[in-house]
Amino acid sequence: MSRASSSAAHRVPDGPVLSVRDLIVDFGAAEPAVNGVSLDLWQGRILGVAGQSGSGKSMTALTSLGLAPPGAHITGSIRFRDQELVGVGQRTLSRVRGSGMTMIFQETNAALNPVIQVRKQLTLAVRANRDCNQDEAHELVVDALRDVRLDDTDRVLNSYPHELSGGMAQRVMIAMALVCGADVIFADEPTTALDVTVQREVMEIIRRVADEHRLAVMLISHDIGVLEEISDELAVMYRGRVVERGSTDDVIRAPEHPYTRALLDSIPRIGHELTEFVEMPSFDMDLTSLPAAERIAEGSHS
Amino acid sequence: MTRVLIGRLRVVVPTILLITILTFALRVIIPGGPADALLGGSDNPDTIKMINERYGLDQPIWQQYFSWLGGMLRGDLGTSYATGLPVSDVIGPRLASTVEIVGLGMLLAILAGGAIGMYAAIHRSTRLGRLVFAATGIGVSLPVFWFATIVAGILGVALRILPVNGYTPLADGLVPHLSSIAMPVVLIALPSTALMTRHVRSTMVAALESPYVRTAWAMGISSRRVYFDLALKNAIGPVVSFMPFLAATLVGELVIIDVVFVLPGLGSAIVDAVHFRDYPSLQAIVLLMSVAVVLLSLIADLVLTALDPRRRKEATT
Repeated sequence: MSRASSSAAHRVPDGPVLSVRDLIVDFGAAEPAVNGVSLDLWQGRILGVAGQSGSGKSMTALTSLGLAPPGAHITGSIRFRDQELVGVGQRTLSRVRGSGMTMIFQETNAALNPVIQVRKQLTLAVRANRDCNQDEAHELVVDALRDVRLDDTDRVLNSYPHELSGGMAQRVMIAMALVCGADVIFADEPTTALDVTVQREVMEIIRRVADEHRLAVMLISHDIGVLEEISDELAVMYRGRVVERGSTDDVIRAPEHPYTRALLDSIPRIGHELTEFVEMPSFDMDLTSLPAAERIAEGSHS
Repeated sequence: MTRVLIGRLRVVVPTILLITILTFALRVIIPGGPADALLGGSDNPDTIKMINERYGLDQPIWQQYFSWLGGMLRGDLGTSYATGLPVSDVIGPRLASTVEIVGLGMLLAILAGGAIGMYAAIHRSTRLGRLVFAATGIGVSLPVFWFATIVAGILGVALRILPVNGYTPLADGLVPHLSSIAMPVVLIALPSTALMTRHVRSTMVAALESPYVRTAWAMGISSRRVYFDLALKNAIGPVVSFMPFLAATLVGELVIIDVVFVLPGLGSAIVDAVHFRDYPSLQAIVLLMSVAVVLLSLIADLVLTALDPRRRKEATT
């Protein structure tokens, strides 16, 4: 009955649950939106993906879910468990969406349906992905709300999204992802619209549910400072490519790519006086020969 | 809800008052009067004076307006210049065909326009979806007086499938009744259906491309639920607020349809009133139609408030 055991049943112990290889998402512009991305997501681990807007972070996530905008030309490989998702039809993708992989978004005011009560939205998510009756669905929903520390469940369930605070709405969104029973959650700037204290709470919730439910999380943010606190691994994206990838400690301690160094330098830190305005440099280098992109070999996770 | 109603009434009542002023001004601005209508060009000053006194036209204009407005409020629509009978006797018998044809036309526009608009929105990137959308452009711009005449000529005169004129009441049998209104209803609904299709399509496309629908896809919600539960629920508000406009479009076509199919409706009553310079009848009909459209938009506002929790909240705080 519990989520943890149901996902444990078809868990693949040795190997990533989602494996993206050489993904290219091309809209026919001068440069593809995603230009040869390779990433792995492992159950129970959080991969932080940093980079400025337009670097292809969200597009990588949306494409993995089969939600790339129409007109996208997609090549490469996206393997979820043992199923290839590039080139398959919407029917297959919609089976994977929800129960296999799901996504939470920023701006919950727009991302939650404004005219439908939270109760109905969560129940719809349960019903779409699980075979259960009304009582079981309600139980799942209440469990998920407790998981995200929304203990006043009745009040939340009877609310419309606009009646919740930003932090509460984002937690409802996380609860919605939990009731789907997905193993992979893409979180697209989940705390960007929130103030700093609420941001921390939401991040801690994401860390905790990832641990408790052995979720593979891809956490997208433009703020590498937010990511370094809760991610197991970091990937830095620039112009559609992963320019640096490694364990969070390694990347933070010894960034190899100049873009990563620039991102890190842009974070104000206690004890370091910020004496000058840090401007993001433009990197007109050959992005195909990257020093650190493959620093983690694929077998090194065991 | 009461608060919303009161708030709207503060707009609706002045609007209706403004309509009464404009409607009344029709008579003042347009030349001619009962004397012309009744005497047919005779210019005996005494007779004209007598007639004007009889209809109260010798009084100052503002006084005429208030006695006319008072009559309207009491339900006294005035006296027809053309027949000397109360205007309500002129309008009453003509309401049946108009209410039926405009009502059914609106229903048809809502159902057909809603269904086609949904289809065009869901299939917006396919060739057929785009073709349907392009076709509505023709529907909007088709001149009804011309198209109605052609259709009546083909179906009524050449093929003799449907009667080409007249209104057979329901009392004379269902089939003759329906066949007498079939062409008028379909033709009066044609531009409104096209407008409705475009409107439903654009609101549905906006809903389908919204972040919350993307969330629903990401959560694995089935396409049937996304289209018919989630997106439709968000699209229904703009569609409801479109209803008064739809009604106004239908009423606008009524004159043409009544004339082409020789129907005893308010549309032909307007034409008759203009023809005989029967201003009291004209004023009453124009006022009736305008007030109906204004009241419809009031109802639409109240329905919207009931549908949208954000508006409900606004209404209670």
